[in-house]
Amino acid sequence: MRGIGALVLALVLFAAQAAIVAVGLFAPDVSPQYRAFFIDKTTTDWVREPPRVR
Amino acid sequence: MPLRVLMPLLITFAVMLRLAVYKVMAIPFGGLSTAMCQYDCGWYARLAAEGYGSDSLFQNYNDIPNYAFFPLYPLLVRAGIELVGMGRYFTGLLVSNLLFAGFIYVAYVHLRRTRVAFDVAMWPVMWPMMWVVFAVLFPLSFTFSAIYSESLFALLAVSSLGLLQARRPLAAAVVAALMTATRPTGILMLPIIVFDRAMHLWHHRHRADRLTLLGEVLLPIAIAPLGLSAYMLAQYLALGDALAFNHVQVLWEREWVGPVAMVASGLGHWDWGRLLLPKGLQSESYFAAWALLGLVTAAWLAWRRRSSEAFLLAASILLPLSTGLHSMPRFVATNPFFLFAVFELAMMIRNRIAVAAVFGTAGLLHGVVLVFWFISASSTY
Repeated sequence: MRGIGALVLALVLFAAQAAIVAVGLFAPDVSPQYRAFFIDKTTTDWVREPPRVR
Repeated sequence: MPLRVLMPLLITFAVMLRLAVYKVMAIPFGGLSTAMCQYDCGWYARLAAEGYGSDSLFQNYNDIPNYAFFPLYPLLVRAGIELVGMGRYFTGLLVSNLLFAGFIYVAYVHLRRTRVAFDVAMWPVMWPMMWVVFAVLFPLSFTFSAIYSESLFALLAVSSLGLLQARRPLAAAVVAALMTATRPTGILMLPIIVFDRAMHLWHHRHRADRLTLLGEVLLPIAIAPLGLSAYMLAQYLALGDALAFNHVQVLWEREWVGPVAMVASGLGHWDWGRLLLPKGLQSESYFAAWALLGLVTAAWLAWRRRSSEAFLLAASILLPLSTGLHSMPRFVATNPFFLFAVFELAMMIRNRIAVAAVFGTAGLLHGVVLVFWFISASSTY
């Protein structure tokens, strides 16, 4: 890939991946139980959650 | 017959012969598919057949634990199932062994390019064939034939490094992206690519076309982590947690301790006697010793000025070692750069009888460890 195209593509990919990492670190969309058990590790109690509806 | 024709034939024969031997050895253990499916195999086989949304059957955690296993290998097995029309276990073994054969060939190309001393040493003609024999005989290399991601990862790692060293950074980055979709340690190729591109920028810093140069530098760096990024996005869409692959490790009791403390803990157990038990390959000291062996080998590679290989070996050990000792023998013994270092050492032996003895011992150990591995899933022991 020549000229400025490679640079533009690289910057777009960087931005997209940075957004994914930022969401992963700062904005997980999970239940309080999931967060407490898997992310914050403030509990070792787990009750089976209902399957998600997609 | 030229080597480029002979090598693929030899590799195919060696891999198939080894599978035939495994098939005979597996008769008392329920057959090849059953005996070869140990530990993580169950996860990969189910993921290939039923996908990430399937119930993991891991206590009451639904599909959440599935996300500890990266997707590229199960996707390949799934593609194989669709293509071949056979079951998950047969197809998994087929895919793994095809990838293993591919790894042996790509590794031969890499060794030919990087170990020029082989061509003027004691084994100038025979060393390619000895590499094939070494690869199929090395203890624990049976993991490459199992329904695990080892063979895929080894093939990709050697390919990516080889492409980078052949001054094809974009192709290397694409393969690195596949690595990051295969295992968490795939991301370790990124620092190698970053360093390579930084050197490229430095050497061409006086070029007038600065924007083109920046594109040449940044695009491979942006591509390399794409596999991991795509998986993170998929996890977010499925679970709402882009870092699920890391967070679910708590279910395997993996928490950050640090490599030094982990090795000290392992050696401190001093439980070598457990190696003699039917499920004996669960000795903490055994696991710690493998980690130390791998790190010493990485230091030797660095001393030999194979810095990229040294980094990829050491980092691949230190990352999982920081959170646990289990699977350490597999992580070390199936690391392609560990295998290259051990093979290089073997090629330094001047005495033909000694070399034969080393290879023979390796084969014997391979058989013994394989039987222990078959036993670990048998309910009769």
